[in-house]
Amino acid sequence: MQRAAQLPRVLSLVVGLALVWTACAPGAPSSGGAQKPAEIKIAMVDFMSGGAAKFGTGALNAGKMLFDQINEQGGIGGVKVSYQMVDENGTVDQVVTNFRRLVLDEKVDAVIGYTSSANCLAVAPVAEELKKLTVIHICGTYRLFEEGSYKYVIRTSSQGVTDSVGAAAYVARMKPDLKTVAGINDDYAWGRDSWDMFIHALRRLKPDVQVREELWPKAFVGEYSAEISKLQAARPDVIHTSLWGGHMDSFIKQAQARGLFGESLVIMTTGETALLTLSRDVPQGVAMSGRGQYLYIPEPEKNEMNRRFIADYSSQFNEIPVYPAYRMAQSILGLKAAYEKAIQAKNGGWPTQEEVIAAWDDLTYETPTGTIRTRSHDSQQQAVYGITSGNYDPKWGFPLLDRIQVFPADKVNPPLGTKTIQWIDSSFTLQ
Amino acid sequence: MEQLAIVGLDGLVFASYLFLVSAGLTFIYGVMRILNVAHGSLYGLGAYLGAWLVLRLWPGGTSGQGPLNPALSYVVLLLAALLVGLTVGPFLERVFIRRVADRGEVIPLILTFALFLILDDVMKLIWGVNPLLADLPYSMLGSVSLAGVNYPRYPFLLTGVAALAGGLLWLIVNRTRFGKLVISVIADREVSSALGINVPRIYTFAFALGAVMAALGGAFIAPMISVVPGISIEVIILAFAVTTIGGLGSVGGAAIGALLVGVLRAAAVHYAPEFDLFVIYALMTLILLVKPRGLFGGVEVRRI
Repeated sequence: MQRAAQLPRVLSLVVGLALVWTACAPGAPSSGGAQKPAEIKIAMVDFMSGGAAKFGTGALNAGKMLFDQINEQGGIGGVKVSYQMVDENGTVDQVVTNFRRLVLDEKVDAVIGYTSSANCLAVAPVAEELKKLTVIHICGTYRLFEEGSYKYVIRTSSQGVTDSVGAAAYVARMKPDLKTVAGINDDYAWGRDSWDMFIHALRRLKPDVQVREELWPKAFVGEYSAEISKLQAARPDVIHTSLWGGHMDSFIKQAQARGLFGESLVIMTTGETALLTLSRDVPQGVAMSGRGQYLYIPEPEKNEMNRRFIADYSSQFNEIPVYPAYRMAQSILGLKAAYEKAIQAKNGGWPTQEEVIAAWDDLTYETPTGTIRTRSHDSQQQAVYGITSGNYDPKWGFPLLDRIQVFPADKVNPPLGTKTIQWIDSSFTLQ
Repeated sequence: MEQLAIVGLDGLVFASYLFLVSAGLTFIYGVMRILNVAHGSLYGLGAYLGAWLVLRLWPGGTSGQGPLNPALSYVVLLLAALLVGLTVGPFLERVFIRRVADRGEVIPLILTFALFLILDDVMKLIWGVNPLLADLPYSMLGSVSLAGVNYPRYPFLLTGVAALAGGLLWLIVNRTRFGKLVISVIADREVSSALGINVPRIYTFAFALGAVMAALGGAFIAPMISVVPGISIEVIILAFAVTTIGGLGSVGGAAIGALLVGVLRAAAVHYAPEFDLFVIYALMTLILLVKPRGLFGGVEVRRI
């Protein structure tokens, strides 16, 4: 036999191995009784390995810290919370198998987590099948609730439309005479959706805007020479990017060395994480947010909750909290608020899972991010954008954002029951 | 015309990257007939050690403050690559791979896949999940204006390193006694052994050499990127594509494959950005259809 004929087989074996890596988990679903339980069992799922591990651990750290604080204050409705942390890394199959294990074997009361869009879309139907409260903390795809209807799934942060539409609103304000735009986004659902929503929104605000380039680098490859050459040759007024995490940092470094940030206004929808990872090396004059969020809004001097969150988190983990940590806080404080509302509705009786979910509908709660409102299982929050200034945070050294604009939640989110892209095209406006 | 020059330049830069990560993979396969998935880990270890040492020795970051001359950072990167290649490489070969080397291609593949998964966690145990950004060697060189765009100088250094490493590899195989022994072992292992060649030792040396190439790629690419957990997997997929195009086992093939993929991808970015991701694998499919053994995959001599 020729050796070469073995190669496809050998490669398919690699793929096969990855699939075999999953396991089955039998068991029986637990029932939510009205008896006050000994503990509330929570599983938190986020990336502990792989390229997103830095931000996944940030979210899990915030979760650990908040649950510890809640327990110190007596728990939720007088019941202590026990939590475990689970890695989201792996194939979608693995993530779903792990979810089943948590529900059926570990018998958790709720699962909080899922950053990746692919994972939250796969887990949601299984949550429905197993009838288990599942709180999505970060996953930002609008498809979750526009293409499915779930009783047991709740999302406590706003979907990607907030950051994409917010970005369009921000550049339109900062560059009122902008005429040309380019985009560099990951070649998968997240990058494609982000760019789509951004450009649709920008066209509403600036109907004559010209798209000079749409670049789709292979996701996660850290070498951007060709893309940057192309962007520099095109010289657009504004460049939109939703690259995130480690490969975004690589892009910033390579683009900075070539002066890209001085030539065009670059807006990075997840740029806030670079304040943590690149810190003082983040170039000046870049517009950014952390999916519509910035840790110093609401201002810590005026908002006690945010002040305490930053102080506690940074003293415990010796770094600043960026948006994944905040999104985890939104989920946990939402869960707590829903339990408390349900307990109150029963005059102190312990609520069933279904009653907690019912309490969550049209629930408004305070978080370090500001006020979050959850309706019909999805949530809306404001969009915050700013530009890196020459001033640095005295304690942590990262560049502070200035020229900050805050867009209220109802301006950058579609109203209940409308489809995102249709809403942008028909009624999105800054007025 | 200017744009063509830029496409060529971008292509060359990406080709250097691809060659550095795939030359060692194809070399080890050529000598030992082992498809080493752990190659990606050796790249990752080189990147982590290189970046970590640079950050340790020049804590001032891009300002280059520290007791040592910043120019030494290039030497540090080289030393990091040698250290990883010459310790981890022989360790993996002697302790693990040797035991299964004569069991066809599938068992060693599974073993190196397992090693790959383990080493990914080892990197996390040593360096944690914090990204390492050691861009001193990258920023220090500054940039030049070429054909109307700003171009950093560092990628040219990368091209130099790739050319030098490829040239050295060629010299070692074709102009040294060790190279002759290697060729003899490739041609016929049993006869070589009967002639008194210490075949296991040749394998260890060859594996170490391939490992040094992988670590060299990691160490010199590290200053351009954010070194994060999981960088190994991205590299191994690209390296597979390049070596398949060039022909598994042929270092020259890897060079041609890297150049083809590099230029094609740069052209795609400039003229048809929609196809950025697609072109690499389209080229691979096309070549596999026309020449299933890759461009430079030699004809297999019957062993028995």
